[in-house]
Amino acid sequence: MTTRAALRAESLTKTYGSGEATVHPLRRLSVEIPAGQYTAIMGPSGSGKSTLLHVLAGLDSADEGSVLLSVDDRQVELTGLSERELTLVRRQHIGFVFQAYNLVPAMTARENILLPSSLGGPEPERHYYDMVIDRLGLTDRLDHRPFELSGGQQQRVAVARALVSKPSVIFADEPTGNLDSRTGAEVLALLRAAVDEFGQTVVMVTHDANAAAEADRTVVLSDGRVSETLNHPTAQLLAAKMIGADH
Amino acid sequence: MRGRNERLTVLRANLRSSGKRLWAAAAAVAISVAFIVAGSMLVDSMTRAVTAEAEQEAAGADVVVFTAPLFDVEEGAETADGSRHGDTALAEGIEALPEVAKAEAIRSTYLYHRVEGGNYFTGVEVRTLSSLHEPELSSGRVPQAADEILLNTTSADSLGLQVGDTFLDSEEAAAEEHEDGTIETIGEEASFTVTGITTDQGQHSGWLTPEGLAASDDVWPDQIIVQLPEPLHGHQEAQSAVQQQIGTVIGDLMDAGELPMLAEEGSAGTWQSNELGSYFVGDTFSLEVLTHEQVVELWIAERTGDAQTMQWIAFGFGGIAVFVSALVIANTFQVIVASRLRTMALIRAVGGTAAQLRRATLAEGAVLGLLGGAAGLMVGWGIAQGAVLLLNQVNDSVREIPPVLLIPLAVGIALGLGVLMSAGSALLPALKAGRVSPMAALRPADVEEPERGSSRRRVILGSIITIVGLGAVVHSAVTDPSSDQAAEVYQVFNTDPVTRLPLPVLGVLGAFVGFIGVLILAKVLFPRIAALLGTMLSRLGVAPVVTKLAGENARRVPGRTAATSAALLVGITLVMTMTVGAATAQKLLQTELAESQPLDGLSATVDEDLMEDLRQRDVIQTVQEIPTVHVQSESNRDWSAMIMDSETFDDVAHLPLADLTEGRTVGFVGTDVWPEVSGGAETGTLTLSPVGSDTPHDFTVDMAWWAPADAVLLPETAIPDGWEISGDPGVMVRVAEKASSSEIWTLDSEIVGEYGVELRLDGGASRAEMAVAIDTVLLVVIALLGASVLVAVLGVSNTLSLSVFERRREGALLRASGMTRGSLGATISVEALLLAAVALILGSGLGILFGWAGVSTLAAEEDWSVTAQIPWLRIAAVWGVTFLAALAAAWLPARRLSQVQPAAGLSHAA
Repeated sequence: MTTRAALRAESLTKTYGSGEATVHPLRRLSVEIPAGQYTAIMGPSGSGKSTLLHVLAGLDSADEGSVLLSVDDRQVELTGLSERELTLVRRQHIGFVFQAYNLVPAMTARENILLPSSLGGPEPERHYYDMVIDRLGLTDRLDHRPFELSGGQQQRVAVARALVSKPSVIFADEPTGNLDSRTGAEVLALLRAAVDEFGQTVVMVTHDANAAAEADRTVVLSDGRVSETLNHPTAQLLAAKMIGADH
Repeated sequence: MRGRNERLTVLRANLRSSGKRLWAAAAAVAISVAFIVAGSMLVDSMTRAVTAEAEQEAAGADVVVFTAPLFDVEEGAETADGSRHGDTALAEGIEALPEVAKAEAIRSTYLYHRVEGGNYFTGVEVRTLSSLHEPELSSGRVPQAADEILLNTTSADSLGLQVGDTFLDSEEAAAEEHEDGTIETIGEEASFTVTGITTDQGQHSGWLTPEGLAASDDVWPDQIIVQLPEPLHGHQEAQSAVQQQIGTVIGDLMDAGELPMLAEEGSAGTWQSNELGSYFVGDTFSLEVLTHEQVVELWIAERTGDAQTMQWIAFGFGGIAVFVSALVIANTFQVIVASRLRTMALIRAVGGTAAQLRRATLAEGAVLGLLGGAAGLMVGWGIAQGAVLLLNQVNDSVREIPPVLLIPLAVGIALGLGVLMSAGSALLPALKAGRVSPMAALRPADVEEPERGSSRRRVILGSIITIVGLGAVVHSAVTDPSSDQAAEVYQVFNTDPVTRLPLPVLGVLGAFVGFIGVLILAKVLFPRIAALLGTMLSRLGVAPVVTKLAGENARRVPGRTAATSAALLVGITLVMTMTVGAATAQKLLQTELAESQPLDGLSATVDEDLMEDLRQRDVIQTVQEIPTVHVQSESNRDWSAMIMDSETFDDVAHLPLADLTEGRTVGFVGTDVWPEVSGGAETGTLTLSPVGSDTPHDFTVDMAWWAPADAVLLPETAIPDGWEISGDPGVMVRVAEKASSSEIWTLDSEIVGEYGVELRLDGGASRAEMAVAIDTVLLVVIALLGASVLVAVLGVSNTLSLSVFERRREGALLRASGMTRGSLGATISVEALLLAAVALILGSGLGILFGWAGVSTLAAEEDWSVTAQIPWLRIAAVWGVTFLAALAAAWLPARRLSQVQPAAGLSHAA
């Protein structure tokens, strides 16, 4: 397994509000996301995991610190980029799988999958595209609209969208949150396959120990800092950590 | 008490949560209410002015007999005092009645006074000054001697006369200008000293003493004013009793042969009444006898014609605005109810009844209507007050309009209409609110299904209604006016044989029905057109994702898209109809005018200076020198005959010579020359020879009303060899397209003044006046339609705000996936443009059809064939303005959507 970092964050600090109401979602947090691996970010509510995901994915920016994204052979510093530049970075190098409302209702499955490229992102390779669609079993669903798809199918379309443009990193935010356990397991398997079969880098935020146990590494956050980094932890261990962290 | 509180809790919560979303609906209510309120307030104000005036004029009169039928044709004009008119005898007869104190015969005549310094005369209707009521004077005193006159403000102002000035009556109403520049009035003159001016600002009027009036010629009976003795004076019952007795007096006088002008032999009359008064009617005559109240009503009705028309205009255009507003409000409530689905389901789950939810929604509508109505009332009041100030400023000679009042009627209309309109529009959404299942609260809110749009029934029903309606429009337009015109009754418009309706009425009904059909189809048709346009733009590579998405978004909410575009469609169709109708009517009238006035101006006697001058004038577009031959007729009258060839003629004329002559070789002569022509009614033979040579030649000539009276126009091809072109050339001119009628008249009089030549520019002036008249009407109508269009644009803004509210998460997803802020905002702007485009495409189509059909069906002349004139430039302007308005309406919603944080889409289902 390579140890090249797909994403490196240094001393991220983010503060909201002032006075008594001040919240510090990130306190001088540093983390490294290795390329070609499946990283889970866990932590109790308010631990800063969502904020961290937003900052790493270029959806939000930190007050201090830096985020370096490896793009092909170069490094892109996300901190300090303008709103427009961040938008272009997202379009070209980052994939998303959200918890809900993953798809544009007015578009067919195919249009949703090709959304980033139709917005000006990289054009997917034809062969690769076909392979992803086939692997995700979407071949005969491409002309359907989101409301005509089951919840699991919708999430598969979202995963396909994240895969086909071969982004530097795929971010998944509670991707199983709204799904029944069987469909949830299917989505987790797909993300696993994205790493194993398609060589992608996946970062997933979750509070579900079973979901996190699917990942190669789990970064546990607590109070805006990384409290632990675990390689291949078991679900039981993670569940215990979470219970402990809640105190 | 408890139930009421509960309901108010829901209502309060609803208003709290959707206050901002209701503003557009409230504004729509306010605008349409303001329109109608302003109209009724203005009418009230004008009616008050007229009522006060009528009351003032009728003061002192208990009964009035209008005596114009008592004019004695044979004798009246000859005797100096007109004593043979029947009114004197009737007045004496009435005064002899025991219940009458006094009956005074008022007569009238016209006096003409030359306006200071000009060759114009203004006619003033002069009546006997009644002793029964004191006129309200602004200066001076009432006349006491036969050579004194009292004028009203209107006459004094327009004649430039003040107390102490002399009023010179000229019987001929003509004047002669001497070579030294002085002007002398022709005809017998009587002079009167102006002793006073009344405050009256109505038509030109004046008053003389009975002696002063008797000295005039052409005096005719006007009315008899009857006054009752003191205890009965002003009593309605006594007035009615005397009114009846007057009938008996008339009958008695006729029997005695005193009123020979009514009937040869005494045939008794009978009373007939209508809403305006009573008439004493015989076989050959009708005398109007009115009580005080009836007279006042009659005068008010006569003088508020304008005000009544205005009321109908305000109600008509206001009604359109109300309809458009109803669409906008219904739309708002539909979306609000949809967005509250979960809240309402929660209320149902915790025990709220369906009726409570319905009532809360209806109450919300009522509150909105009350607030919007109240705002509209204030705005309308302001507009009406502004209009009164403006009218009084502009028209200083017309009677002053009093300030508008906040009349109960207007308050009632405003609040009632406001509540009715918004509660009515909220009705359907309220029913829907009642049907919300409590289960809806538990369902996950993920990807929503799109609204169901089309049903087969809707398509079939809508298509049939549209086809029937538009078919009726076309039928009314193309039916040949003469095809079924039965000879027995003269009617302005032909009736359709099947429906028995006049064709224009059928056409309007058809247009209305057809439009309703289109509105029924709207839910199926509009969203598809919008989506199709979006896809087309996308294929063309115009911001592919944005245009595609905007089109699809429009299709996903067919109900809302249809209502929004329909609201716009109403205004746009009407504007297009008027624009195309005006252009078509103008073209039609121009063609007619080209036939009756083929030339803008011509003269046979022009010297070089004038010719040069004409060429310099901006008002004149083309000047053509026309060769002339000095000719004389057999009775030795002589003229400069203009020799026309078709090339020169066609260059200046509005109708080619070949069309004018219908292919014949024919000349044209003016009315003065016509008596020299022998032959038919309009075509004949005129024998002419050049002056100084005796080589007579016969010409076929037509009578030409359009030519100057002494004009002789001969075709070049008919001129015999050997005739020599002589003297100064004549001229034919064509005025510039842009010249106004006043510029043309000014030029006309300048040429007369400087060169003594009459160009007779009537044709050009009529053309210019007609164009201005049509454009003015068009402008006013479009301005009045502005309110509806404004409401519809508010509706667009409203719809988009609501769709932004629904698409926040979608927007966040798009932003996260790499859509720029600008592009995301543009999806909203493009959606606005697509909604507008749907309305524009359909509105232009319907407008062109309706505009052409309207003119075609109204042009009830057999030989008028009407082709639609499409003023592309103006239509393009309407498109441009509508698109700009749509963009403006989309501005705020687009901004709001573009500011959605991309991270918002990641957060947990909220």
